[in-house]
Amino acid sequence: MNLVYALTAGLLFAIGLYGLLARSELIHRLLAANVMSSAVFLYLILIATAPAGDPDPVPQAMVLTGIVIAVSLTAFALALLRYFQALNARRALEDEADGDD
Amino acid sequence: MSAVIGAAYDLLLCAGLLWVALQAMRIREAFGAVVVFMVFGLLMAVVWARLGSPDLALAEAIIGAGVTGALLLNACQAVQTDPGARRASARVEPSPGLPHGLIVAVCIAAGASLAALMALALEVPGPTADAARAGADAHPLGNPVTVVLLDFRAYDTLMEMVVLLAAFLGARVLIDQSELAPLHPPVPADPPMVAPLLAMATPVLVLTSLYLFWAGSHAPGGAFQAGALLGGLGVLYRLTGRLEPYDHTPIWLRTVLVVGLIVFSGVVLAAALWSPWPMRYPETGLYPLVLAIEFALLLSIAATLTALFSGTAGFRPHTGARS
Amino acid sequence: MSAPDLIAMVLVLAGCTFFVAGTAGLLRFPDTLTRLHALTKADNVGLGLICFGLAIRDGSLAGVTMLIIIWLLAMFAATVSAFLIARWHSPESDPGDRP
Repeated sequence: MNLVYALTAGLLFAIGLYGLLARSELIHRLLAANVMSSAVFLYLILIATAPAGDPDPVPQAMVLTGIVIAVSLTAFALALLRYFQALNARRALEDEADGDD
Repeated sequence: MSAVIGAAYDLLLCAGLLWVALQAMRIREAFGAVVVFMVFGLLMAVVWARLGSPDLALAEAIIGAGVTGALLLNACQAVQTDPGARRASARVEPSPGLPHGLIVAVCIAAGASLAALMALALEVPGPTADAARAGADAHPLGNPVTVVLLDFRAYDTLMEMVVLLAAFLGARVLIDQSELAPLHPPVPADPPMVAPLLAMATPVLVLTSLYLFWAGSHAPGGAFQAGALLGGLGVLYRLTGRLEPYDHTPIWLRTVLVVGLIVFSGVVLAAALWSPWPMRYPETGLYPLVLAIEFALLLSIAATLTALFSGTAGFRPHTGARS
Repeated sequence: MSAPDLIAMVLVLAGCTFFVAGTAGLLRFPDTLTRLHALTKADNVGLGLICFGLAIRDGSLAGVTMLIIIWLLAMFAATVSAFLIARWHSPESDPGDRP
């Protein structure tokens, strides 16, 4: 059973990598980074799971911490994205004003 | 028979997970990609449950799909409403000089080799021994994950709270700097159905949150899931105008934002009174101390997530008439 | 297989059929309102049948109560969200209300 999930984790990471490389929109890149982190969390739990039994509590706690850190970083990145947009918009306006002169 | 059904279920789940992740990468429009990503979070929650980790399933469903989804949808709306944002959309130049075919080829190669390596490395014994589990079994708290979070590796949890607070402070500085109008300005009147929704959702969410907090010491649940759920209620209140954006962080909000860190570090320091080591619980009284820390963490997490969603320096209860 | 298990299985399968039908409707119907129609009907009945089937299997008072609460909450959330989507979508609604 874990074999299927291990293969999934590897492919999931590659899908995230694809999004990170192929997309130019920042919000899509953020989604891609989140998918990649999910793949890492998944594998971390898998290698800590005995063939029959529940996962070890230490990696579970680490992944729980990781999920909270991921949402913190996503929130900060989204604030950064809005700031970047506002900056770009302001610069575009200034360029237009310069062009009129 | 049931083993076959289980294997088929795993295959279907993994195929769905990969398909949804790929769609989230491929859909052009940001809104669609975000919605598909939220479905991805929910499927991840099912995966955690399937792998025998209900704590992670709860956290992923509430935080990974719920709160992250709300934050991402917020960003989609910002593109619509921020002045000039639609034209100056947040994009960077595509990776320089890389044709799409090459990227696909690299990713297929990386995926194939990673999947093969990961599958092979499953045979290697994991990095952790059974010591933690054995210690957790003898611990007065019944939930091994909570034992690790609040006792064995409490420093990690303390630092995690610091990261959460730092994310809010950083976002606050950026929003201040960009001088943008707040998203979701107060609405003059509720659309129909919103008031009954809140009347029903409020007690249910508060009760579930308190239950998760209480259960966390002996069963799946804990401060993070409970706090995020309460934060979800805060998001709902902020969206419906019960909490309105405010360009200061009021004193009460500052207090709630840091109360988790203060109580937690207070216990760390106070440990000097009864032990030569910091962050060691006294022989008796572990349970009330853990509950106190967890409750303070719950409040701080809920307030921080609501403030991050709000996208303003702070929020305050809406006063004044509402029809 | 005992009779209650069999009944439970039939109910759960029937519930799944409703989910499949609802999903087909969501994918195939042409516009927002017909899609909502397909989704809400199918999901509420489908989830109800699945909860009913699981309740028969479970049998304990706590389990059955929890399943009923799950069904009611899901229906309530589906009602409100479907209503808000329909209202946002319908051309007659006051544009000032739109978020």
